[in-house]
Amino acid sequence: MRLEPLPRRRHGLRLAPLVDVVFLLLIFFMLVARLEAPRTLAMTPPSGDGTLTGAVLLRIDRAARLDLNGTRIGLAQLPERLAPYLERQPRPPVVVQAAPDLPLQQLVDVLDRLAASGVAKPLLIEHGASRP
Amino acid sequence: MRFPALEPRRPREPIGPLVDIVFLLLVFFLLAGTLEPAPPFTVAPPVAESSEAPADGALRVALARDGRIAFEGRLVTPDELARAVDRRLAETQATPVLQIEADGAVATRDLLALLARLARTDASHLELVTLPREPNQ
Repeated sequence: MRLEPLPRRRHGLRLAPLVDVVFLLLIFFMLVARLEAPRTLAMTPPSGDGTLTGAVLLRIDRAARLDLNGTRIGLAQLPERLAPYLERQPRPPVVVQAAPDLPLQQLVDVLDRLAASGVAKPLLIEHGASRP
Repeated sequence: MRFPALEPRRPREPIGPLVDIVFLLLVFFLLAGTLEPAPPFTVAPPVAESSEAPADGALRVALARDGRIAFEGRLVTPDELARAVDRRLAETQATPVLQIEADGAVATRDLLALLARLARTDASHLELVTLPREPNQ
């Protein structure tokens, strides 16, 4: 009786299909992954409750001009103009009232300045919500 | 006249180092990238200087410049949004932080309307996604 000789064992895995799959996975993750590290700004939503006694009102019109308690100021002056109010005890809340059409980037620029002056949580209210 | 024998053909380029590099790149993108459902519209967040590092595991609401809202990659109406957010918070025990990914050109009116809606959900904290300022700006 004649037996077929056993086939010779192939030594080692075949690498090429593995590499193909790894390449595909690499391309998938390169396309899908988001690499940028975003930052965040805390937002305080408009709320109906709570008293705003002694609050500082900062208004922004549609051309991004600022108005602090009725006085027209520039964005660069904001920290120094705001400082006397912030020294009061108790510290008054800062209310930001922006024009409805104002682009978000302009509002964020002002919020940025406020955060740099130490106002971490300004209250955002809608235009026309309060009349000084 | 005798010519020297031709050199035998060089063996094929070894593939092992290439595979190693590709593996390393794969592992890098797996670890460094985050997989999140992207909103069905493009959003260019506003640029800010002073901002904090974002909370981990926060839910994201995207707001397009024309006022459309997307939650977890799907367009939702403002009325569906609050319910979808609450359902998601209830089923995942996720950090009750909501990140708003709004376009820099969104009108303040739309942002305030969205904030007011989200304030009535179970989320305890609202954040606005910003991008760090580029050094040359």
